[in-house]
Amino acid sequence: MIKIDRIVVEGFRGITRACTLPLDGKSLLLFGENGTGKSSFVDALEMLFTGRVSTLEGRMGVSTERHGPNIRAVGPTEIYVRFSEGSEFTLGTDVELLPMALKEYLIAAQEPLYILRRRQILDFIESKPQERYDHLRPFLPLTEVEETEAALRVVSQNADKEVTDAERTLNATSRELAQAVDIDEYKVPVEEQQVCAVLSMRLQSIGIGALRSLSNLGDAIAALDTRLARFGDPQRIVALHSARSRLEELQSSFGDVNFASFKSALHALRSREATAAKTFFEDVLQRGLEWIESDWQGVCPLCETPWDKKPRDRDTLVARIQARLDEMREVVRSRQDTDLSRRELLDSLRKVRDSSKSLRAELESLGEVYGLKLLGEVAGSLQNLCTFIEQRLDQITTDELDAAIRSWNTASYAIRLKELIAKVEIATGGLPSPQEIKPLVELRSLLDRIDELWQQQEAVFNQRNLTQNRLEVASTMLRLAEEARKEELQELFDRLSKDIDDLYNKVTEKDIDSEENKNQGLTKLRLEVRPEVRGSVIYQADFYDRKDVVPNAYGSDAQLDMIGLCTFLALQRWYRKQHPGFKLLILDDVLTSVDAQHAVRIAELILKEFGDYQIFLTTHDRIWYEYLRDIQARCRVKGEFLNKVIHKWTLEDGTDLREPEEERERLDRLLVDGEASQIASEAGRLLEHILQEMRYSLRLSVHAKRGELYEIGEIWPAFYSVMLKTYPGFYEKCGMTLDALNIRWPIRNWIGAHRNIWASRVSRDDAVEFGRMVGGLFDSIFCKDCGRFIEPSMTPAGQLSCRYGHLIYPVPGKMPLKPLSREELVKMTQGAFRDSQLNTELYFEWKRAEMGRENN
Amino acid sequence: MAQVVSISEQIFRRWCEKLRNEQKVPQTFVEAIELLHEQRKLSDTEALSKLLKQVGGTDDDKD
Repeated sequence: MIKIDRIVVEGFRGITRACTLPLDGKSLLLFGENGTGKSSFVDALEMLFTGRVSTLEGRMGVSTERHGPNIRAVGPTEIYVRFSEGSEFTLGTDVELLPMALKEYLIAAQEPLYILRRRQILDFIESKPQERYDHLRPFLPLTEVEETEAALRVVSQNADKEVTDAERTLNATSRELAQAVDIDEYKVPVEEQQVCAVLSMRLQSIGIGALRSLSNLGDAIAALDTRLARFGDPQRIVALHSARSRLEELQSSFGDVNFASFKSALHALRSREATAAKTFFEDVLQRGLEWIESDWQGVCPLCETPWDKKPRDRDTLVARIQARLDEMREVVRSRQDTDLSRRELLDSLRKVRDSSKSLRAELESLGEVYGLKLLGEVAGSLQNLCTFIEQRLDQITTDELDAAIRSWNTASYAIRLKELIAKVEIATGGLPSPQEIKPLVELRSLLDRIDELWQQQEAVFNQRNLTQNRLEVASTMLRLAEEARKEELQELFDRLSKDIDDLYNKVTEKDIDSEENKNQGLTKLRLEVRPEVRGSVIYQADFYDRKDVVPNAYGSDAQLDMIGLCTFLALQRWYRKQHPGFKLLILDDVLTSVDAQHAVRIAELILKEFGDYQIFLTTHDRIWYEYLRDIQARCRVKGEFLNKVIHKWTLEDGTDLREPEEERERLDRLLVDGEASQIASEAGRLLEHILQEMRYSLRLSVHAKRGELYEIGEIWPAFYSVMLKTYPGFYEKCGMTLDALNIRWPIRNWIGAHRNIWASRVSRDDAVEFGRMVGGLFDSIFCKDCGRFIEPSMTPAGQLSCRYGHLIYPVPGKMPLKPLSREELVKMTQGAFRDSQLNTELYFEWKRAEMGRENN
Repeated sequence: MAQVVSISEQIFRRWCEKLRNEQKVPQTFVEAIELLHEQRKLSDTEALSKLLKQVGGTDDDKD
């Protein structure tokens, strides 16, 4: 089983200088006041394993990249882990090069599901159902399922679009069919009987039988063709009649060609241009006029010849120029009029030309040879005229125009056209009239069109049904996939809920099977998938006789913390099954609001449930830390935990993880060959450490200080006073050291912490004496066997001892009494201490009784 | 140690079961879907669309 042997962190979050956790595969219990860097170790592991710190992501203006590195770090961030099987892993290590088992461990560690912080607990409990699903989402590897559902959704949407398109096409085809049959009200698709009824009426009107089904349409068409056959080629007959009437139209259109307007306009233009030939350029005239009127200088604007400056001459000149300008503008207007006439003439010529051309083509297609030459000549002559008139207007002379008009011999063409019309009349004379044949031809054409549209409607209708089928299949597949996911998740959640409820009952020591506890407080905690919403999970419970309530509506902060923690542990149980080779659990200060009684049960539960895991527990609560140390022994995992205390944090040095024994050893070395200031400094550090520990164990009353960074002078007076008054047994043995230190502790400040010139008289001997006293005090109050400082015994009052009674300072005149075990304490205090909970009423009652006994 | 069946695999099995019991879905579909699952192609929209086109014969068949 892979475990972490060693963690080294430097320059990350609250850790400035390199800090080492020598785990040797053990679990970790880490105590530190708020802001001393406990969570920095958790963040560092998350950073190393996942590449990010989740608490630094997703919040405005905060990121791992910017806020991960320590603000006083001089070098780059270093995070190093050595595993039990010998491999090392640091930021930037290529995972591919690591052994397979470790690679699997690191893959499982990539999602930080094994880390629980207090904020996550509250987030989970108080989140909305969809957000809660997101919290659970990393535990549920559903990517594949969600991608399948997404693909099915796309396919379903595409199928839906195909149905819409097919319906649109069907509507259009049905509308076209209805219009062809000439029916206003119809269903989509148009019904066969409705079409047959209309067609039957038309067929019956010309003596053809009713149409019962559109499959008989071929018979109706055949009957109609027989009817038309007696007229020969009905199409040709209709075409000849049409050609005749169009020839008459062409004949009358000759009269629409009006050369006169253009001819007279051109003549007028050319005449005006002739008289205005000497006219100066308009622009020059205009600018000259403006110059003369505004800046008359008495010289010609073109040749600068001086003129008489009398106003009379100037007015004459201006009048002359104005007249010439008017003349010029008249020419321009005339040109515009001429151009307009030319366009009108061109339009009429082109119309006659095109009509001649198309008539010629029509006669030719009918195989009629007469008239082809005439119509060709008319079209050709008109084409020549058009080409001539389309020239630039200034290139058309009046003489050329007159010649062109003469070439268009209207009279001759009109006579020949009349002869042609007469010929066509003779050709159509023996044929039935268009009025007689046209309805038959139209009905024939309608039957063809209906046949085509009906088949088209059938095909489109079938396609629409097919797409509807596909849509139904696609929608069903998607619906069933969603149902399967929700049902399977609900089953998983049911199992999880059972686990959560089971864990919660264990923590609260509730036996749900007993009648007494049934329906007491929050019960039947459960996660439920919301069937109507995608990706949504609700948390429900019963509260006394109220069913289906949200836990945070009734639960206290502590209960909600426990519910959150139980949920996390239940998820871990499940996750363990998915990743049996990954056994790491990190709980970062998660039991803040839980009372000691429940916290102990949770801790016991974790240590038993996840006994084979490497567990990292951090806490800022000293009492909780001590409890956890006791629990380790009770759960038989004492040797499997590294218990560490962060006793100090400073901005410059960061987290201080040094053990007091290390400081004691270093002091001993300095006492041999260290300088006075070094000795005073190290002795001061150890004294500070001692006082910090005694502050906790003796509950010393000191003024609260930000960051709990107390100096010796702030704790010493309280410590000395309490030792003197409350613990005479200790004072009896160590009073001399205490008294001496009461005078000498400032030496640390004089020469150990600051360079004071006035303190230069403090000799090395003084420093050595101070160091020896601090060392002696440490030896008197630190038990090497327990690895703990002494603390007041629960009983008798006034006795100090280590946790297991290796080091005892009894009350003078009394026998030393080993600290009691929990069971002994419960028994002795007649139930005042039950488990870890103190019933103060019972306790004081017992205490009064004991004092009474002592007095007697 | 017994093989751990992933949640997504369990969901897939349940889905196939449901598809088998659903008359609207052709039974040949279920087999085709199982095949796509084996090929890890169930998230392939194109493959699913192609499968769906087989409802009522392919468009190519009709052509």
